[in-house]
Amino acid sequence: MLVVGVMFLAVLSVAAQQVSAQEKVVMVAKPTLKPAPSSDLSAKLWISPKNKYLQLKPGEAKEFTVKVKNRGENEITLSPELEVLPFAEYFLEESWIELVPEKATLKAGEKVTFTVKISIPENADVGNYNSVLAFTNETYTRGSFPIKVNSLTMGVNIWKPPVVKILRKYVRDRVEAGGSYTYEIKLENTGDEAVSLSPKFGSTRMGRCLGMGCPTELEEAWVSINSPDKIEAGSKATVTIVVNMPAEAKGIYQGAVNLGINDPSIREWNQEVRLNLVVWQQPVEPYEKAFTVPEGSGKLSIEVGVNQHAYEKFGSINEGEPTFIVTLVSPEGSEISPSARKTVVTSVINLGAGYLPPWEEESSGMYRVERINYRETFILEDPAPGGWKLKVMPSNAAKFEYTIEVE
Amino acid sequence: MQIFLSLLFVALAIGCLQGFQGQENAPSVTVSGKGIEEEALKKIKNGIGDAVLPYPGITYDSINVTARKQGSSISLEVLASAHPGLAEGVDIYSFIYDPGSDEFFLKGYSLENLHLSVKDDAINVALQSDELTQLLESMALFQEEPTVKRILPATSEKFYQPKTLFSVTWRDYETGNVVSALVDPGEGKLVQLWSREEQ
Repeated sequence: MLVVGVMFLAVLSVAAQQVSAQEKVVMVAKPTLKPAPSSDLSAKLWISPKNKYLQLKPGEAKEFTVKVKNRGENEITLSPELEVLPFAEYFLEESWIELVPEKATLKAGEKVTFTVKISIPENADVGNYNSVLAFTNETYTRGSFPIKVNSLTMGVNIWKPPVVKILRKYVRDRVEAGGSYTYEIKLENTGDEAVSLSPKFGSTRMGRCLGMGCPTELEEAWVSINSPDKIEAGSKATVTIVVNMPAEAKGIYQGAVNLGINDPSIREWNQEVRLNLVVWQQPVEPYEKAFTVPEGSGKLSIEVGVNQHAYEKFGSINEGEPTFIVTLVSPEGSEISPSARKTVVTSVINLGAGYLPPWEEESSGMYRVERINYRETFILEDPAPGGWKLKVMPSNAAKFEYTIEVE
Repeated sequence: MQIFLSLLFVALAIGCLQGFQGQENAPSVTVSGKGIEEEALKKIKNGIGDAVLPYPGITYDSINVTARKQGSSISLEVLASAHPGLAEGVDIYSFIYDPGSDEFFLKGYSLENLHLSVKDDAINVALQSDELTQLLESMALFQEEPTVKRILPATSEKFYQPKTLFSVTWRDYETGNVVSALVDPGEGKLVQLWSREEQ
């Protein structure tokens, strides 16, 4: 049930976006509908369900029932008619829908069960189809759209299994400024005919992050694509994306390559390979911090560490645990490189209570590593009093913390 | 559900108990547990290999069992993984072992020991769904690395059909947003979608 709700929100969201794009009218994803006062309505009907969402392939058909009860005091004749939603991507055709009975007359308190059969023709395009089955003519107005009061909203997502499988649809990597990175996108044509390909840099998606704090867009000039112009039937092909990061690149970059696969079962925006690249530059100079050791101190402890997500990795640059080279510069200027006396690795383990999808409930109460904390402790006995300098050169760490403790 | 799982593993324990020992490429099994009789630990070590269910094509390289006394039974936490070249991640099982009947009852599992290509396939099947990609977009989860877990038929039956499925889950630990897709790898389609958005 929850899933159905989620899918409807998605449909509404798409619809709202399309209105925004075409008519420059700002609409929210969850419109607040204010029905007309009940005294204005001659027919008071209870309809269940009010919404129905189906996923069907071309050529498939599905039946469902809808119950309608006359809650008013007068007899009413129902002549259901199909109405189009003004903001739908596609509309369900009248010829695709069979309703039994076609009409019904209800006395006060009576109810009727309609059987609705939706048959999708073989040649239907994939997409989201929406329509309204109106049981009476009463309307109210939302903005400039008249809405049927006594209606069932029907949505059908028509889909086809993709003929071409895209074996990698997103690239997430940590890269260095000035570096060149190659990503191979493997495709498989499972059909019996060759499928043409024409990959292009750029995204057709809507709703991208804009403004402060958003990733920077990758520039087309930095990206080159090498691809065959078709994938033969029953064979595989590789599209190679090379990204040359400029030397001055900083921060997070995002972009997309539309594979241009001539497969009608794959929506245009669902054949994009998304690129998310985090530019990382390994420092060449250590971090430095001056501190003072008071007279009579017997021990100097330096703790350096980092707290990382379990899935945080260094991608193309490196993989491995964080390490820290610690150097201490004494008041006399001599450099000391103490060895780590103690290395501590701690993890934050999540038992997943309340945060798991229903089909992962069997793993409730089991351990899942959420964060890993690496700590190295360097100790120097009998440090000379005076001004010292701590130098830390991190590796495989995008951030670190340190503690200087003098006893 | 637990009854179903238990029955499944009773059958496994009875039917396959003799099958694991002496096999070539048998995993290295370690069993530890304080205050548990040596005889019971030995039986657990001999039987656990047949109670676990690696993904087809995978043979576990190591199985580590931690046993704890729980009344007259013994609870087992089992961590199993194949050679890193064959699969990555860890399969975790939670069993109740009955020393009297020498039977293993599955209580829970979290199975992530899969070949990278199997995980990629599951992710890509999920990403074919318009609804999923729209949710990932709206909940700002596209940049998160998804987890792929194997869902056993006894659980899948509740949501789709009694067959092995994959749960592909995007999670943002900072915001608490989660989107999960239940994927049928055989049919190459997403069969259920679930999401949780922090307000």
